[in-house]
Amino acid sequence: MSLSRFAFVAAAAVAVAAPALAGESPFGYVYTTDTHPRGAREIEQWLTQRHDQSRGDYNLWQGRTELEYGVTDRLQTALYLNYASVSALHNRPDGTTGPGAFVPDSVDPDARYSKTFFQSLSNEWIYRLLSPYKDPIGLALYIEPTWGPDERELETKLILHKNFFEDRLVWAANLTAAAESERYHSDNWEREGELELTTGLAYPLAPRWQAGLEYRHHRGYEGRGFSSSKRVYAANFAGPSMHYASQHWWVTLTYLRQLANAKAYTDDAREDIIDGRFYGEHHERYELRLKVGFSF
Amino acid sequence: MDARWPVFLFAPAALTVPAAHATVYLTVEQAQQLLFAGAGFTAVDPGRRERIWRVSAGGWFIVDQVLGKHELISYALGIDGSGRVRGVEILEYRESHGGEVRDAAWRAQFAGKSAADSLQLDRDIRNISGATLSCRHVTDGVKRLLKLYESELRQR
Repeated sequence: MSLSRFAFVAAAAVAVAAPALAGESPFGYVYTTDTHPRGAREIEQWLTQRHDQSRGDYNLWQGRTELEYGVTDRLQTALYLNYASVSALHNRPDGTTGPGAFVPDSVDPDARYSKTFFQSLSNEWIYRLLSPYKDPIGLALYIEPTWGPDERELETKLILHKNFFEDRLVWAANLTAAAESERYHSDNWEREGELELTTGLAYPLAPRWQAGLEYRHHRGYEGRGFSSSKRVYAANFAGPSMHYASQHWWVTLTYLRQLANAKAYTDDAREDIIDGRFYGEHHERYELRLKVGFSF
Repeated sequence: MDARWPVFLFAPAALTVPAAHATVYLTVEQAQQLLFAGAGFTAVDPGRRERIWRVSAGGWFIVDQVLGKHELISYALGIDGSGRVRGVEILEYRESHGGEVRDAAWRAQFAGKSAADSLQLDRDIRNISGATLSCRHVTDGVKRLLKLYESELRQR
């Protein structure tokens, strides 16, 4: 059974077995400080489509099947599988196929490259220090090690969450720092660092429906550390999100489009900026993310 | 757009579950009899957001709604003739989490409270982990109705 078929069957089996409820986030990319109470469990399925590079065809589907568990009322953990399917043809600025995100250096420059693969296994931990419902602002710490055949990553977040207008308007912001090693381009491991600021606002349009806006600022660094001498690029994304919560499940859809104000700090990175957008290192013209979750 | 879509794209379709519906725990009449057994009720001030009844035995019965995470929570407050809370009843609750506010022991904390009490979560009223939003909104709702009694109903 292929990986994608296995993921489908696993998600379907869990869905049939799961009878109950959900805690949820109104955002596709931004985390809030809401964690599950002790003993609560939730299954989430994510699908992210990352589409369009500078030219030609580029399409990446990333799937994530996640199991979350409330260890205490403040501490939540999650275990998830990441898998992906990439298809690229003549996607580079010079009209060749790859290399790029998940496309190796050795690819035939005149042929379509397609691959479906297991990406990694991640273990997420979130500890809520302050609650937005009882304290002046919500505050949580996040750490997530990731292991995969071709990547290793340690990601940390500082999560802020504040509600306004009797908790109708939700604001959240995340500061993320990640150190990773990957070898998608060749057999050699490459060390990279990423800093990210994500923020979002969500407001209920109708019972069960929340509409939101999300913004993502992403910076990439060479090697270890985040000094300005190691900066490679900076890219920005923004777009709307829509969230629906039923009594038994919830769904969130977010569309982010890369803004035409990317910055490059190395010669290689400058070649990857076309019409103001950066297309190197896992960056595309737009991202569409669907998340579905429910508790059991 | 590339026509090749991976099979796992359709995994969320497997997550379909029955649609949600509201759970009505008590009707207004049932809540009235729980809080003021055998009494008569006279509706006053029709048309306002809160539904208010004067109780024949003395006191007031008020039905109001507060926002949960996504839906409204309907609740009833009984106020005795001296302006103290006689009881709180949850009439309707529609959401997945936070339904613990129906717990009798939690609601009993409001008994005897008046507009003079600060009614703050984790200070006067114990919070329930996992139901913080509902606890805070119901607590704030009771506090608001006690202020309403103090400012408008007490002198009637």
